[in-house]
Amino acid sequence: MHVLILGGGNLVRHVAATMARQGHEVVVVDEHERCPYLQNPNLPGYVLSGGDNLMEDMRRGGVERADLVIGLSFDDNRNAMAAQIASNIFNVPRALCHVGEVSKAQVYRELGVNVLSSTHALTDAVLDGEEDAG
Amino acid sequence: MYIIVVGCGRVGFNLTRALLTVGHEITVIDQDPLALESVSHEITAAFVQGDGSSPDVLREAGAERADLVIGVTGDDAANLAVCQMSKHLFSTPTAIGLTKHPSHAGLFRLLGVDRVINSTHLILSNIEEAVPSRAFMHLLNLQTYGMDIVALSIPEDASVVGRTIGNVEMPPNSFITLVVKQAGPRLPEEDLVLQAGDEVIAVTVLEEEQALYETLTGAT
Repeated sequence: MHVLILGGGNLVRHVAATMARQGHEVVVVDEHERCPYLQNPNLPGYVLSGGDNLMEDMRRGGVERADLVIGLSFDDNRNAMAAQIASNIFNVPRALCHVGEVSKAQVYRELGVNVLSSTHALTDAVLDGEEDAG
Repeated sequence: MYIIVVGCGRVGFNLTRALLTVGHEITVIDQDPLALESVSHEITAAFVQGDGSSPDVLREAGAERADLVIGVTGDDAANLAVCQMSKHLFSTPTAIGLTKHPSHAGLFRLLGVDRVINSTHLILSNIEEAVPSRAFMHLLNLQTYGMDIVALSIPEDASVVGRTIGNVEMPPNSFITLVVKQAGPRLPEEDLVLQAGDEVIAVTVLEEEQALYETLTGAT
């Protein structure tokens, strides 16, 4: 499977490394030169670094043949735009994006975007922990 | 009209000033308190500090009653989000989004932005128009179809000079729609002969612009 991941944080580094180990062809697109993923040459897959021309960066990352696109940068808007570029322009079968702001995530869901929300997941985890403790 | 302008950089500031002059009511949203502070000395609009693509911030700025929401930050993704949030949550009648990159314009339209302003395209057409011996000029960008309408002047040494339109091998998605000769405009019939100085109006796509330019202006 060809996987395109947007972002450069620890989460991306972990997801990319895990998927690459599973045998997937992983490309990470990140706008920052100092992506931690870049600094570890032992990680499989490869990396492109681009500016704010998201469509062009995604094209360079092989979005045309991608089976999965995941927006995991720190910027909700950029993640949502990447997922929408993938689905609406390149007909990528599966596109996911992380949107931290709850009310914004809700809008994107209603617009048909596949949204991952760590805020929801973390809230649930915290509340579960509270219940266990109580 | 009640208008929300998101982004108060150079574009947002000058736009707001122009809109205020003609009597509109404006609220400016920007994330940067310093940027808001500096323009607040020069214009008397309402200001909201925050992420203009955030539903809560838009609501605070009165998006429910806005006739027009304009995203003119320096970030294409933010401008798109501003428009999508306004349209979906507040049924804003008109959302205008600025994009730096021509490749993003089609996406903006597809996702419901009513009017897409492509800064690069605007600057290019203005410069092209100002260059005296221009051979290639963008007249119009048909965003929905990803096509451009362009004008080319045929130079004296072009290989197409003296040939009929039927004999010119055009790129597959480019079409001559009109030939403006000294005597006036002519429809591009198969047997119309191209001459130096003719102005050709053609429909093309971004990827074929170079090929089209070479076909019509290239020397033998």
